[in-house]
Amino acid sequence: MRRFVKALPILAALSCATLPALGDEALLAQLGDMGITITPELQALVESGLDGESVDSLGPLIDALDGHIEAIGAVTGAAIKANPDRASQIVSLATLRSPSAASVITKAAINAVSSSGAAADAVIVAIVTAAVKAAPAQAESVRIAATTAAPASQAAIDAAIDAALPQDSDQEESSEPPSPA
Amino acid sequence: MNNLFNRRALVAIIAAGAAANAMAVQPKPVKISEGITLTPTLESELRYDDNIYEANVSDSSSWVASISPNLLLDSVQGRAHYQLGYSFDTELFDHSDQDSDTDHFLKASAEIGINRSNRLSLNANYSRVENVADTSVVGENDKFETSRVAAIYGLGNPSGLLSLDIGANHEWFRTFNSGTINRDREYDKPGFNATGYYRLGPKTRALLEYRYDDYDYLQAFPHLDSDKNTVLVGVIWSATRQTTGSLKFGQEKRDFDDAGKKDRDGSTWEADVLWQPGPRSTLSIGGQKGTEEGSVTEDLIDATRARVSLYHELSRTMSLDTFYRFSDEDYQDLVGREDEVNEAGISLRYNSSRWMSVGIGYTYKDRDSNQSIRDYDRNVYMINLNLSL
Repeated sequence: MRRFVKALPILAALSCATLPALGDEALLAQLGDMGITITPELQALVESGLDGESVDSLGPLIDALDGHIEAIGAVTGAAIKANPDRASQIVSLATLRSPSAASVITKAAINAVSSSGAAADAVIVAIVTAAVKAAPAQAESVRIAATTAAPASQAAIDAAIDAALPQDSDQEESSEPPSPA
Repeated sequence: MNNLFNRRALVAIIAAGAAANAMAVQPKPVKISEGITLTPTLESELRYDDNIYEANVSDSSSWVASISPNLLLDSVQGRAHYQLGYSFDTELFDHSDQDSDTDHFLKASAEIGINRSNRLSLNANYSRVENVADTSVVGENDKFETSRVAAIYGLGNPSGLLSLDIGANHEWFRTFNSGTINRDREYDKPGFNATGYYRLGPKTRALLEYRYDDYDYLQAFPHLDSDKNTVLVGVIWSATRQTTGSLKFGQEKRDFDDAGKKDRDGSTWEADVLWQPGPRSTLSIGGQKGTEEGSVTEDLIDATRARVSLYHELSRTMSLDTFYRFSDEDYQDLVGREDEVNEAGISLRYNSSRWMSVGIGYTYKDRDSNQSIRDYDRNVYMINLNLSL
């Protein structure tokens, strides 16, 4: 037992060193399955994008995917799983680089923070708002994606998106009472 | 050492357990075929509402049970993302069967990333809704159908110096009330909008926005056909470390086709700011000023609305939401009606597992009008349950 305890720091260090690399390989395999050509340049961008200290390092990787929505969703989800506390910043950066992927990015982000146990309304609202501010034209598809990924937060999501959209109050209000959102 | 190790191991196990418990409701999609999933969810609510009609009348309290199943078909195929969603919401009122209703919502969207600098967004929505509150005839549900299609073409990458969104839309607003109720509110509305963005920094853009809406009513009376032109300038910033938001100011001009009606030319603004003072809290502040559609009694409503809300995570499984909203509505009518509406609410939610959450809440709403017959207040107490696969 004593030897095992002494070895714990070494095991922990090894785990930390190898986990990101395994994440990169899994993501590259996933991108390959989506029909993306895996070049050495793309491998380097994946490594720097996911393991970089700054959120901005993800930008060149999103650009390299050239509007491939499915791949951008996968990359964003992986980046948020690695940095769940920076979810809204990553969503913002990725959506600004690829607005047509806004709904896929939103869904991937909510799923990533949910699996990391950080999916409070506050986090989900921040993700949705970041996506809609970066891509206002995609607000309705972001709404559908977000309310399906986090149905319990629907009132908060609707409030965040309605606030970000031009108000058009011509239609009658719903008979439902307002929810705290 | 053994004791120390055991203590540390225990702490690690407890921490792992706490993390597992922290999962919020996260629906599990059903795979239909490669790249296509179906996600079913279910929401239900039981509430006590002491003024379901939002009117100054007696005998308007009721228990209300609602159930709302949702289905979403989702497909991500390379450069395109398609979504098709359907939900219905059945509300059963203890007060009277006449109040009970079922609303239907159908939504479809397609996002197509042509390449880094060109994209197309297509949306179609249909809703068939009955409203119990604030109706045209008290005790008779307002029944409306709305169909809307919209297309937006995006040119240029928003992370570049300049980008442009150009959109067109068409809305059909209809009633399915019996007889003549609400027939005067039916309209067609074609619209156009364009927004140009100029990059000021990595996360900040200036914008110039133009919107045009053509309201074309089906009935000649009360002559509400009008054109609405809105020009806004502003700034929009995406997530910095703590804030996200947009501020827009501009001019709105509404020209009625009927020469006997007074056109409106005035200032307008829209604001929306999200502030995260810490990882567990989000404060949202916003509002807007502009004109809204009138009816047989007024040409239009000049409305200013503001809201503030705070979400706070009390623990890994429990969250608290609060909000306050204020509206000031000036009616352009013969009697100079002015309403002030205040709303506030609080709710507590407990995420018991990945597939279930329960919540309780309370909301208060109050309308204070210079036409005292329009005054009312409303208290709603609710308990809700969200389920998914």
